[in-house]
Amino acid sequence: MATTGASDGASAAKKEGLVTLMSGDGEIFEVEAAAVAALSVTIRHAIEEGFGDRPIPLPIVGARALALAVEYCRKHHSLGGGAGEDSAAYDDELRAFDHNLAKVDRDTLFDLIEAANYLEIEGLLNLMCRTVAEMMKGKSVEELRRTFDVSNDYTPEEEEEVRREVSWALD
Amino acid sequence: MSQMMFFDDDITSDILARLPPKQLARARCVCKRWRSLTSDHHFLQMHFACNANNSISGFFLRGRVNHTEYFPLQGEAAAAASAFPDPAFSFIPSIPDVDGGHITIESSCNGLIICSRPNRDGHYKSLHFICNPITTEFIALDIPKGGDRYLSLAFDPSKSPYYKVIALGFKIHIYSSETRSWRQADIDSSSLDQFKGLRAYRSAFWNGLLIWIVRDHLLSFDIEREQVKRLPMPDHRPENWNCHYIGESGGFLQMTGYTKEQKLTACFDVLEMGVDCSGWSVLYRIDLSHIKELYPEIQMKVRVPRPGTRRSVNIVDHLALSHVYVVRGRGGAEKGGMLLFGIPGKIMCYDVAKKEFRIVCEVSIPSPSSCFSEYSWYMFYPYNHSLFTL
Repeated sequence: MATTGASDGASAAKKEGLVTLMSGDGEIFEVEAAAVAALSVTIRHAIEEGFGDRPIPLPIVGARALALAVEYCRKHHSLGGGAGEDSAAYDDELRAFDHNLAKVDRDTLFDLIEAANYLEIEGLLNLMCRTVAEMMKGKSVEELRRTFDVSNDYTPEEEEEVRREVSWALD
Repeated sequence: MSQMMFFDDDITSDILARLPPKQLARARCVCKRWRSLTSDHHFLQMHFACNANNSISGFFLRGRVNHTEYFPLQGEAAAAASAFPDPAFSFIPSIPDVDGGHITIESSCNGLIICSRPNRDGHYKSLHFICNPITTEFIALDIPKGGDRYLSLAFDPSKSPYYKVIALGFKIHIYSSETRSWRQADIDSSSLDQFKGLRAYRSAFWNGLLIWIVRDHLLSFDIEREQVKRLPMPDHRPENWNCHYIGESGGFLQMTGYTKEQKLTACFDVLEMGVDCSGWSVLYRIDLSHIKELYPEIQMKVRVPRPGTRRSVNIVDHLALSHVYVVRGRGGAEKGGMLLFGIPGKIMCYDVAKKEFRIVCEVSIPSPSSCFSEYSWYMFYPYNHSLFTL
């Protein structure tokens, strides 16, 4: 908590507890160190290694995904203390927040997975992987390829073989 | 912009492992990488654990005239999204004029099942199979002569992709899927004598041990060391206290037991064995007394033979309630903990944390109604979906 005092002291105290992050596309974020360090292993290590005042570069994380990831850390730190889903602290408000976050469009979802993986935010990575898995449910092979931009690299013979192998699942 | 195809193998596996079996099988057809990522044992184990979610998908129940049914235990949505195993095992071809009829389940363990098809010419000629009822893969098991009395499947996918089948008869034979062959266990006849008084044909598989209830104690067979050994029993148990259930859930061994008087109160403890086999401690304290108010007919008088006589009987109080399966839930806390139990005509589920009952299924199986069959466990086989290969 910042204490009031001389003006330069106040600004130093305000800086206290903040950490600067720089997204891959060069945007600067000043965020509460405690919140992001509690949730992100990568940032915790960076702070421990003494990045302190300098911006921590996060080369593969875009600004939009970083903003969402930081929001996730803040919310989970203040409401749940960063506790896992099985914890009693994981209440309805956090669940509602997760639920809303998972409604992002597909491209943002994928960016968030990359971000959560790079920043090592386990809960966010879990949430997003689960969301992608939910999107896959009920889709046919062709629909899966279309939805996720995956090209079919099987030869017709190979595809016939794999389809025969899992014929029990294709009806 | 990120793309699904550019995720590293770990992330892609993490996503695919969350799919129900049927959807995962479809994903295999999408591209070569997804197929190869989802085919190795490590992935299949992750998928299995993810889908099991500290519980069981459902169970097989053998009813009257050997008719087997499957009942899902997970929520309806999860059940609908999953492939249902075919309880008739019709994917195993039948040989007309030779087969005696329905497939009978002998043992289930972590997604795999041993079943048999009786032969008209006699029990000893029954055909035995091991199968994965979801993928419909099966192989025939040639049980050594005299070894087909009690078959148990031992499969711990978190430790090894291979499974073993233990055939307990006049000898113990062990089949290994690694060598695809049988061998006779190297144990002496006095070890085998300890199996006299086997109360239930079904065993529990835990920590490399197969465990049976024999008379008033627990007998284990260590599959690696090929040793028969008694397990410790709870300290300070009253006289006439008997074990009535032994089973594995969440990697731990659970037991329930009581005296006849304790049984009538419908209050009892679920005990759990320490990881190092050190002793038993209380996992759940269960109070099912409310079930007596809901279904007063389960309190009955039954006739039992008076000890030492042939014709005369004693009339005693009896509670027609039997333990079927304990689900441990997440990490020992009450969350997710469940007790499946049977009363006449029904299998019910008691939620340990919420202290609530629900009916899982109505069954046409004669439930234990006399003191003789109090030890009956029904023909109950817990089941979890898996894509493990044989």
